[in-house]
Amino acid sequence: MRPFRSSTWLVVVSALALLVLGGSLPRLARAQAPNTLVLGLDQEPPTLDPHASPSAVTYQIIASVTESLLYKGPDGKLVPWLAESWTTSKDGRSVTFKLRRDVKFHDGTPFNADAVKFNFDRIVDPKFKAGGARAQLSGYAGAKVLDEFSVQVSFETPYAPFLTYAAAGTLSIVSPKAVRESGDQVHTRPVGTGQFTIKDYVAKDHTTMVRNAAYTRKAPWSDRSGPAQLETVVWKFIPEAGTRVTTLESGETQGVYNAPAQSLPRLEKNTAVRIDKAPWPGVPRIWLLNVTRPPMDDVRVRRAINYAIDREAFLATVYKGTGLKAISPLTALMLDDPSLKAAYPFDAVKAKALLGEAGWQPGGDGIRTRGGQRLEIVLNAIEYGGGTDPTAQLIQSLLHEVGIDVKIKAQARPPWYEDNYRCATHGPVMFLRATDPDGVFFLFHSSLVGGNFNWSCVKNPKLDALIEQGRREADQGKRRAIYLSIAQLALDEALTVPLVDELSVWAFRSGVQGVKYNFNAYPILGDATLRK
Amino acid sequence: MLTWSARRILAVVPVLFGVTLAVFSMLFLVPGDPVKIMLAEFVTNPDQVAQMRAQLHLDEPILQQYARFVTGAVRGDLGTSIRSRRPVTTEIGENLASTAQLALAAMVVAVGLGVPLGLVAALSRSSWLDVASMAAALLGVSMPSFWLGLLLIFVFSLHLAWFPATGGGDLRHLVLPAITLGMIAAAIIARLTRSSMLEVLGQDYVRTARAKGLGGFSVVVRHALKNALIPIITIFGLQFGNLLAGAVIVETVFSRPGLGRLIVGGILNKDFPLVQGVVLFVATAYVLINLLVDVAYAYADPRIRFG
Amino acid sequence: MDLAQRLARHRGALVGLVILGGLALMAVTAPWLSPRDPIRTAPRAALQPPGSTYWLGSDQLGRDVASRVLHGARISLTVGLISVTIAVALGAPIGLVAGFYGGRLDGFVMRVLDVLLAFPGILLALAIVSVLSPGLTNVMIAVGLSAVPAYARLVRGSVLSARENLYVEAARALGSRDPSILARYILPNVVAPLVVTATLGLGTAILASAALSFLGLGSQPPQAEWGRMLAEGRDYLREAWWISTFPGLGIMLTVLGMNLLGDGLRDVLDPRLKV
Repeated sequence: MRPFRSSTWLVVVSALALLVLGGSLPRLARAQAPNTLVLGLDQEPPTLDPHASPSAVTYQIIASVTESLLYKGPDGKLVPWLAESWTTSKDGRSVTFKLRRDVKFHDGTPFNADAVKFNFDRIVDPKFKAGGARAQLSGYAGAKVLDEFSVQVSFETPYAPFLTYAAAGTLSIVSPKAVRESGDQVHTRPVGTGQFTIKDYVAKDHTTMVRNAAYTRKAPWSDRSGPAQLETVVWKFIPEAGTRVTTLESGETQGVYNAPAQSLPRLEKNTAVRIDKAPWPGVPRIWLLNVTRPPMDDVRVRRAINYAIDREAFLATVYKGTGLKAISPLTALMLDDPSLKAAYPFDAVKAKALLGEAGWQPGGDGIRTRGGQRLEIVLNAIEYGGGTDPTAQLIQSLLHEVGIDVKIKAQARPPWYEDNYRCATHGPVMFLRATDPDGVFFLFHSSLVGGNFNWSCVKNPKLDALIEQGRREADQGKRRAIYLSIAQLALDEALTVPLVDELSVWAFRSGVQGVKYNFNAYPILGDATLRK
Repeated sequence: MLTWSARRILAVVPVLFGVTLAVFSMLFLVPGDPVKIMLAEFVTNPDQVAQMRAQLHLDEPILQQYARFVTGAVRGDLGTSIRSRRPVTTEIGENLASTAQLALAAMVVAVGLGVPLGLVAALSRSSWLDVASMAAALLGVSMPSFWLGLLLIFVFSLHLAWFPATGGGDLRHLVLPAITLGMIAAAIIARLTRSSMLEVLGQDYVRTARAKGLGGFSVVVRHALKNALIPIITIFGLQFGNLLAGAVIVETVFSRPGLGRLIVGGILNKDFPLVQGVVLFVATAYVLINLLVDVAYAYADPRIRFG
Repeated sequence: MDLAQRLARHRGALVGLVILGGLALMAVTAPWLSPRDPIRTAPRAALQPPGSTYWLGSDQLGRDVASRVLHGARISLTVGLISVTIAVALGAPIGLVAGFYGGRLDGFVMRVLDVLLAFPGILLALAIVSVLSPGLTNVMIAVGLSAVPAYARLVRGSVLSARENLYVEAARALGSRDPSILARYILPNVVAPLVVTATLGLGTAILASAALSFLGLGSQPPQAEWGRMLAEGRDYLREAWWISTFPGLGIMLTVLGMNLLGDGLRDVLDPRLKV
């Protein structure tokens, strides 16, 4: 018996040839059912359960699967959705919703006041691992079923943001029966009342949703009643940006989220592709400065950093065509004011002067020193396995110009979170999608140091008071004034360095029409059509 | 034959023990407190630190810990991943197929490209073909696999859109990673094939066969080839191990699920139990594969057993 | 010297030497040769193709690729040299002692080497980096340490074959002491394969450390290191191929040079060397 007969390796070579040849046939369009839209997302959602997810990507998908009590479109107006009408009590502590009577969940069970109560109780249940939803029900004191289609939701103190949150995907309504019976499947097969149902979920690859034929109503954003136009939508998870864009250009997908800035010029020239850019509400891409850790505990240093950061640099590179200058801890969509715009123009000279004032003198290697100590800062960044976030590198480079040595601590998400909770670095760069300006609560309230997301580790009683006031104030005008004060205080104390108001960028093939967006800039596909 | 095999198999046991010892000691070589380093995401109040320490049995005497480690490994329990909270064996199980697929496909590429290339070089003797083939092989050996991967992505994914650049699953996702990983091994095999073939062709018995007029070119080549392939088979096991290791990089380049991404993720996440488990698994697999190759090879070629 | 003459006549080795010489020159003169500061960003000049302003183009933050490639040569050569030095400095003595004194010491060392060699390729380096945590220095240590078993084995093998030599037995019979036997008969036998392996090993070390940096476990920003540059250029492959291409070329040329030189040395020193 001799090893390796010549015939053996002939077979081997042929197999190889087949492998290469087989793959080189021009890629046949995957056999798709007609009227199927394939979309590419940049991340896989950690879960599809709207109450359990901390991550924005879940809601890209969920926006077409579950429905909420109210709806808020890009115009910012609250309109009825699953609730026909609502009234706030005089003391501002409770809201009574009158619900629609003609709604059924995808599993056939009826939507009613019991279902609403179940949903909210579930979110606040300490045994339930809730995501962003929990914080939105701060001070929840219970929901009372008044009759089959009336429910009263109460809070311990007046809670103004509740109505806005009630329009968000985080507080959307899922089927109680499904939650009770499907166990772990709630994460991959959420059961809602919307125009699409989730048909399958293949981890690390895609999830498919199909039209809900039983949908007979008129959705708040739509002019017509009835089920969705599309039969199937496939959401593919394609984290690699270059690949994602390529799938759009080749037609493998008909829409992609988050095409990177460098690909936009090419896409814009492509007549078969159109680009939808929309601002979203929340906290912009921002560097939270840890005010408890020297040398950042000195407000002059923090202000100097704000002057030293040239936001144009970000807009010329990483966010070219996909963002606007951020001016405050809230995106311009939420809060816009000339006083905010004027706060920290790029001024390296002023930055250096402030640092000098704080005692940091120019040093030999270009880095400032004070009493023999170098001006060093540790920036907490996320390592994507390979190149480091260019935003972090830009910060490093810009601050180097004024004599600050920035060390980038790049790590995976879990240790990154831990360092933020422990205030162990000089701060991370992050962003937050938030439907209501109350988002600043999570950013700055002293009770959230060590949690999500007070990573500036700030404990400022004045700020706390303003934030709590903003929660209670029902009058829109007065609320705006309060949040303006909060933003101004945050800027004055230089608690953060606002970088870029990112835009949500969806690129579609021109045959895709009728895509709408909600207030959070998530796409709604009920009226979407696909023309080949 | 049986005694030889038995002795060979027994020789592996102390090596495997040594491997477990080396992997076990990793946790203790970490500068600083490994428990504190691992406990990211879950807040570090002293109770939780103590709890984790107890969970990992770090309070027990070292010998007992080691015994626990080894018996666990033998039973198939490699601990629990700190991040995913799932057994390490489950994580490995989910990712193993993808890596094995890649290594095998790469082996096919390596042999399928390398052997013919080396043969062409050897048989054409000092012509430009020989020089060209060996120059190509030399380039192949010097090329970083991650660069080759990016080049292939650039041409075949981004421009021609023939193959996907990332992900795993089906045959289409396997082609580019397999070529990347295999090409470099192909270069090594090509050089080896050439030198081995040349050596054999220069042997007396070949010249004798030719002199006797034995059926011309193909007969001679077939005989020579069989002998020339012996050293190639010898490094089969070695190459497979290199492919396993090289898969770490290629999987990252192509964002392909597998043991490679598992271990790199584990290192970045400071997930020591996961890293230890994967390292132990791969090293053990490598040792066992080499053993298998040795035994199969000895069965085929009696000279090894008795020589 | 006869050796140098033979080397000079070996075409491959010559080419290798020229390549390496060029790279070493680049590495040494990088601070003066670089048109710009390698870590200085120029956001408005990002993603410029190679041309008259930026010879090899500019990267995603406007940094000059040419300057970064030059400085990268410096880092890579340094890392390679230090890694191999660690490997030889630790591996050779171990192999020497084990091979020369034999007996139980040798048996023990062989066992340990067998265990360490059970970790294929980059796996050992990965394990060491996981313990030490990511960073360029730690990568140097990891790559160096992971090569120790191979060098120890190699040196041991050479020592063993030299020991069998009749000269050694004769010298012992005449009463020569260990150190002089070592110096006169053993060491010359060891040096040749060691030099060849170390030269080839330099290439391997550079590849390994670049690979680890590519994975994000080695060099840290804003270091202009080739492996890291390749990783960063990955997102821009379509729009700016030059960011990844030139560092990749750099790595390939460097390793090619090492391989050519190593092969040449092997051919010249002893073509029958089983290395």
